[in-house]
Formats: sequence, C-alpha cells, structure tokens
Amino acid sequence: MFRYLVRRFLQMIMVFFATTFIVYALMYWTGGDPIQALAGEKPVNDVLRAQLTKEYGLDQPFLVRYWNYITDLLHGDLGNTLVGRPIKDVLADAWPITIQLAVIAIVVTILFGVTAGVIAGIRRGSIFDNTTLVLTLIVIGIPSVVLAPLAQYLFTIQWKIFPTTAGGDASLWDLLLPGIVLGSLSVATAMRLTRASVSENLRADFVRTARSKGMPGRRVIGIHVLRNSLIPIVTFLGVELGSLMAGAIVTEGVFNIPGVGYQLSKALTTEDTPLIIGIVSVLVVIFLVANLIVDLLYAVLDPRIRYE
Amino acid sequence: MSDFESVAATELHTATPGPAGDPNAPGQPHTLEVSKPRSAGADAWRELRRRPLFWVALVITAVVALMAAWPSLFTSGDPTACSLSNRMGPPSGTAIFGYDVQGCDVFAKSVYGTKNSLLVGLGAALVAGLLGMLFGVTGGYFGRWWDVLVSRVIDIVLGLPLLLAAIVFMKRVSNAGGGPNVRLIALIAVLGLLGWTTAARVIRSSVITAKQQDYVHAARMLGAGSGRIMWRHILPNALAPFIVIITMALGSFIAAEATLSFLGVGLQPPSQSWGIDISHARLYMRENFIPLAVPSTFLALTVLAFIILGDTIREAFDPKLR
Amino acid sequence: MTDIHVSSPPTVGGGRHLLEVKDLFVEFHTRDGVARVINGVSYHLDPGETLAVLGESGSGKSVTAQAIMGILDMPPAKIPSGQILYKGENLLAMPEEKRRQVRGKEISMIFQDALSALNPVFPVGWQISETLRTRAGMSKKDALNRAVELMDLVKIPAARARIRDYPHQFSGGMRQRVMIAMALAMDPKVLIADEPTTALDVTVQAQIMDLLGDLRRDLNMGLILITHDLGVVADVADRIAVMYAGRIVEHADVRNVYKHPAHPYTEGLLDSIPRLDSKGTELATIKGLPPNLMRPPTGCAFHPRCKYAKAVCTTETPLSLDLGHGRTSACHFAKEMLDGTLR
Repeated sequence: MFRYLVRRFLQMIMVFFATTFIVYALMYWTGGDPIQALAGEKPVNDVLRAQLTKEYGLDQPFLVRYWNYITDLLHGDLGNTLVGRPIKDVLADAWPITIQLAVIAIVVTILFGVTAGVIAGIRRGSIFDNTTLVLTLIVIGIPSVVLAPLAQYLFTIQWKIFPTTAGGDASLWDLLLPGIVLGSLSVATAMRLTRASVSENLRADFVRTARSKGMPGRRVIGIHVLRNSLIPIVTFLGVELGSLMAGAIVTEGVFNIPGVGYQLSKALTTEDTPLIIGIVSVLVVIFLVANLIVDLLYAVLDPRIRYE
Repeated sequence: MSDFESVAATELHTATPGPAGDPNAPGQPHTLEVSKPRSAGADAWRELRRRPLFWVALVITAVVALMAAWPSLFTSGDPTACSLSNRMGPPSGTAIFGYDVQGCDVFAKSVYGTKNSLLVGLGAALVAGLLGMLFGVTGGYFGRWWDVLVSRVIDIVLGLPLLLAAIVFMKRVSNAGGGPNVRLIALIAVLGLLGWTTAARVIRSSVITAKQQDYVHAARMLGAGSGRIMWRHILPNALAPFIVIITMALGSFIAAEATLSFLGVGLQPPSQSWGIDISHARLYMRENFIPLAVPSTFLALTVLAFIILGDTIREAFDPKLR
Repeated sequence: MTDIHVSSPPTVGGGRHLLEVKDLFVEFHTRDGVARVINGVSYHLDPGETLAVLGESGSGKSVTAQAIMGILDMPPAKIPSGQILYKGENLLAMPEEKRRQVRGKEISMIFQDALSALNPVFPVGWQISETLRTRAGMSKKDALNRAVELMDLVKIPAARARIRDYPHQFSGGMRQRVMIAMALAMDPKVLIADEPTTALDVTVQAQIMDLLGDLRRDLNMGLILITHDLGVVADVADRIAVMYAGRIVEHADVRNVYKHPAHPYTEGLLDSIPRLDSKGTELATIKGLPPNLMRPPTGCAFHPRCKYAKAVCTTETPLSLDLGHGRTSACHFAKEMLDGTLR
C-alpha cells in the first residue's frame, strides 16, 4: 500500500507541475504584448500597464515568472483581479456556495443514480432497467447548456416551483434545482456504472457461496454484492466531485449563483485574465487532489490493493 | 443469471470446443458452426439492425450532415438578414419558428449553425482519433520508455479538465485577435488535443493484449515487419472500441463547442453557432421561449444522436452488456 | 464408519436415508432451446459415508448438487419433476424461507475455486463467522472465537493471527481450508464438495482430500464429492456414481468399480488414469466430446463414443440395470461387461 500511495503521489506532483505549466504558458507565453493579453481586448492605459508589469514581474524571464506563480499558488496567494481585489477573497466568497451546490449534486447522484443502478442491476432486462437505460442515455446526451436553461424555464417560469435565480445568500431550497441540474449528468453515469457493477458482482462466485451459506437474499445483495460494487462507485463519485466544480460554470452562470463557476464565467465576459488563471489553477489543483483522495479511498475499499 | 451463465459456459455448449477441445477432433457428435473470420463484425451488425434506436440515431445524423452541407435545402431564410422590425416576431413565411430578439429568422439561424457544430465535432474527432491511434498503437506496441512517456502524457492531459483547459486556450486565441476561421480551427485543435486520451488508452490496451496472442507471434516469426503486424493483425481488433469512443467523443465535442460559444470563448458572432443562439435567447426566455427552444433542440438531438449511435454500437459488439 | 456397502439400490428407495435424490430432472430454458441437463438422477447418502459423483464437465454432476442446495437460478433452470428428500422431507416442496434454513445449517457446500468463491473484500474470520452471527445469534466475539476453532479444525496454522487476513493473502490450499471451515460453521450433516481440489497442486490435493475424509469421519457427516478425476477419490469414497449426459450410468461400491467396471464409460475413465505400472504405454482417452444436451443423441447418449456400440444402442435408451449388491449400470450389455464377454 505504501508503495502504491507513493507512486500515486509522485504522479500527482508531476501532473500538477505539467498542468499548471500548460495553463500558465497558454496565458502568458505569448508572442505579442503580454500586458494587452492580460487585459484582453480593453485598451490599457499607462498606469495600469506599469502596475501590471510590476505585479506580474513581466520584465523577468518566463520560467522565473512561472516559478513565482507556482510558489505564490502554493502559499495561497493568487494575486489580484484586474480591478485590484485579491483573487483569494473572491474565491473565499464563492467557494461555500459552489461546495453546497456540488454536495447537493452528489447527494442527488447517490439518491437517484446509485439506487436506480442497484435496482436495474438486480432486475436486468426488466422494464425498469430498459426505461432507466434509455432515460440515462438521454440525460448523458443533453448538454448542460440546453438542460440548465430548459430546467430554468420549465420549473421556474412555466410552473414556478423554484425561484428563477438563486442570488447572493441562497438558501438550500434556492440551490436545489441548480444542484439537480448539475448532478443530472453524474446521476446518469452513476446509474450506468452501478448497474454494470452490481450485475457483474451478482454473477460472481462469492454470491453463490453466500447463498449456499443460507444468507437471505437482502443480505446477499445488501452486504456481499453492494460492498464489492461500492469500489467503482465511490471512486467515480470522488472524481466526479472534482469535475462538478468545473461543470458548475454553466449552471451557476444560468442560475446566477455567485459561486466559483459564476465568477469564472463573469471573468470571461469582463476579460479578467488574472482571475481566470487564478480560478482555473485552483480548480485544476482541486481536480488533482480529488483524484488522489480517490486513489486513497480505492486502497481503503479494496484490500487487494491495500496489501499490494 | 449467475448460475445459468456459468453452467452454460461449462456444461451446455459442449458442441462448441471447450478450452481443451480440438475443433477438428474425430467423432465430433454434432455439426459445429464454422468459425467465420469476421464473425464479430457480422454478429454486431445483425444485432444493430434489430435496434430501432440505432436507426433513429442514424437518420438524425444523416439529416444533420445534409443540413451542414446544404443548409439551403432546409430553409430559404437568410440567418444574417435580421431586421429589428421583426423583433420577436411570430412565424411568417419562411421563418417557420418566428424571429428572435434581434429580428433574425430563428430556424434559419439554427439550420446554418449546423455546419460549424459538425465541422468542430468532426474535425476534433479526427484530430483526437489520429492522435489516439498514433500514441495508443505505438505506446502499446513498442512499450519501454516510449510507452512510459505516452502514459505520462495521458496522465497530464487527463489532469486538465477539458472545459477549463479549452477556456484558457480559447481565451488566449481571442486575446490574440483571431478571426472566425482562426477560432474554428482553434476549437478543433484544442478539443482534439485534449480529447484523444480515452481512445489512446483503449487502443493501447487492446494492442498490448493482441501483441501477446499467438498469431501475432507467428506473424513476427514469419518475418512480418512492425508496421505490417500492427496494420493487419492488431488494429482490426481494436477497431470496434475505437469507433465507439470516437463516435461518442464526436457528440461531446459538439456539446463542448456549444458550451464554449455559450460562455463567449468559442465561436463569436457573426459566426453561426447554436451555443451563441442559446446564450442570447436565454436572456429573453420569459418573453419568448421559442428562440431558445429551437437551437436547444438542434443541439440536443445532434449530440444525443452521436451518443446513442456510439452506445448501440458498443452494445452490439459486447452482448454481455445487455 | 457406518455400514453402507449393503445399502439398497438407489432406484428402489428402501429405508430412510439422510439425503435422497429421487428421479430428478433439470432443464435449462434458453433462447436457443431447452437443454435437458439432468434426466432422472437418483442417489442417496447416509451419515458418515462418502459418495463420489464422477463425470466430465457437462455431465450434470454440479447441477445436481446445486439443485440439492437450492442455488440454481430459476429461470432459466427448471425442475419439472423429481424429489430431493432430506431426512425424509422433500426440499423441492419447501417454501423458500424454510429451504434457506437448511442451506449451510443442514447441507453445506464448498466450491472449486476458493479465491473467487470467497468474498474478496471481507476478512476470512468475518466470512467464517458470518453464519454464526446472523443465524446462530452469537455475539461478534464468540463468533470470531468459534471461527478460530474452526480454522484450527481444518488445520490452518496460526489461526488466531490470520483471522483478519483477506482471502487473497492465503495460498490456494489454505483458501480451500477456509472454505471448508466456513461450510462447517453450523455443523452441517451433509457436505457437498464440488471439485474441491481441481484448482490445487497435486500435493495439496491429497492433503485436502485427507482433511475431508477425516472431517467426515470425526463429525459423522455425509460427504458428496464431485469430481472428474477418478484418481483422487479412490482412497476417500465409499461409493461412486458415474454420470454421463445427465444420467447416472453406473453406481457401485468403490472397489467393484475399480476392479470390474460395468459400463463402457466407466471403463474409459479408468483407462485414462495415468498409472505408475503402465509407464511407457500410451494413455487411453475417450474419443469424442460429450453430447450437446439441446440435441442429445438417440438411444444411449454414450453410443457415439462407445467402442462396443451395437445397433440397439442407437435406438433404445438403456434402463438402469440392477446388478445386485447395490450396483446398477445403464448399459444394454452391463452383464456381458462384467463377464468380460463384451467385444
């Protein structure tokens, strides 16, 4: 297990440097005017130009700048937005909302996706199974730029069940619809994954053993099958939590929820390059950490890995 | 099914040779089905033909392709001929779904947006497919340091969430002031460059499996070169999963294009894109839902068609999944 | 050891046995048709005796065992007729909940591949004690202590230290011992061992066979030993039932079978055992493959592979012929075989 973890950790460090380098290089290693690139299409006055040059050390070589960016990032210093607000503060305000949204999405995923997957896995070929398979396929096939406005129209304007937008101090109820929309893709994937995993484990020899021990059917499924099926499901949910943060861009934008995704989409329209880089870097790090945690969980859940 | 399948494998199908059975053994009590060289493909096709969902998806993709190539076949309207006097106007004449907030023909805009969506989707799928094929085959076949390098590069690309990396990249392109064609090519490049890893992984593992099989050893001993072995013996085996992944990737590339355009970093007006239409129409959906519904339907149906196509092909090739 | 050599022929019935399979039929309904996997199998078992059920894969020996355990999946499996009597009670007529109580407590089963038959994510102690906790109402601690005793019983060294280990941390032989300990947890009266040694090394095979033999004697259990290898059962079994295409073709005392097989198929199996004294000569095999049970051959199912096959064999299905001393054979020429006059 120790070797496994060390290997995964080293891998993560390597991927961390590579991905942050790519992101940084894409934005700043430019042939043209880096200040203009920072400011986007807006005109740059001399005051701002001088300030940006100093702040980003643009007179220094590229690799030195990358190194400074990395060390700052690791110290939690993400610099300032174009209008001078610390990016750290922007994120500190935005995170709690995005995390709430992601948690709702994950809970929805577990509640509906995993449950439906277990039922479909047990009753393979039944009407329930075939219906959910088609339904999940449709959900997977509908992009969030369609799903989010559609859900907003149907549930907030047409039927007025939920508030149209969530706004600043959103309650759990306000976040429910955006959370469901955000989680819908994961619900579909989780359902299909659970179904495959459960029906595979149901065919396993150890199920036959458990039955021949005289275990009742609900214990065979609830303990023997589910505990084994949990391994891929939990790892999926872990990775998914990381990608949900990125998936929140569209959903938060549509529902006007001032989370991280909303800040990112706002930064895109206001051409606030430092904020874009800051948010993307943090999201990439979160994504990597989520992957590492998943690897840890995998080792905890599967003894065959633990004692490798 | 558990016991049945294990039993079926070991006890029922005795007419087909078991692991130790010799298909040409004398005294064979019953006729064996003669093993056909391309039976997997033929079986899959037979299975596919029976699935209505497959045909629905195929028809949709055919219509989408036709629409991309000859949009004027579907509408006589002009997507750029907008007149504010038609603002949110009801259906009239050629504009069967009415007009949007800027007085543009909603249906014509969506029909003409098909081309860009499909171009990005196909282009990115081509780039991703070629890269995946190249790295997957060479990594799996040559192994050693090259394989290690390929695997690490895959790790790195997977560490970058597709949407985020595309946003940063496209932001860079727009800051550099690229025109519509530059943006189109940039979209194809970034989605292709970020989207090849799954294909490469699948190809790599099936190449590694195939490499260890006897007939490949035999071909090598008979003096076949690496290129020939890969082309004739290994690639055909990896083809089915490859097609599935690329088909599904095509759908998700189209969705990604729409998302990026929606966020303002993909295609930009005056280019026609469903994503742009959706993002504009969304702001006025209280007033009029139709301009949002039309491009949304086009986008959803197209993406769905490719996803369903991929999914049905996958099931046809892997009956175990059913 | 109880006296079993004069027990009555299985087809007749006679007195009450511990376990008795009576004229059992099992079929599988599949998309391609119906496969008749078991076609009128009867055998019985008494406390303390070992019955070896022998046959190639596809002969129906495992399906019979799974029917006894009640772990066949129905559908696709179907039991159109037959009885399985345990202590005189028909298991097939019992409601599922009552049937479940029999599993593991009265009749236990161990499987061929212990690695896949044990749940990979639970420690062996947990798996052995599971029935004790959930069915015998023992506390966690008591159940684990009992699990250690059981592991000692099946001679797993340092049992207490290994109770928290997972199946993949054991060797093949030790894993099979864990399986056996698990099967014995509720003191069953019948143990069915389905190819318990097939996946093991030859030396380990002998150890497991000896262990099973000892346990059967010490615990006075009935043991059904399912195998395709005549060689491994010679020392352990009391009686042998040879199965072919879902029928018992020969059923006899173990010594009689080895000395004078009364069915050409048994003879074929015996000839294919490698012997030390026949070194150098070519090992005989039975030509051909077992029949497809969707379309079984007419007459005697074995006739396409039988070296003695005559015209009658292709048209008439041989009945089980009583040869005395609890011995039966389903061959038209069983008597001639015993006389040595069959050519």
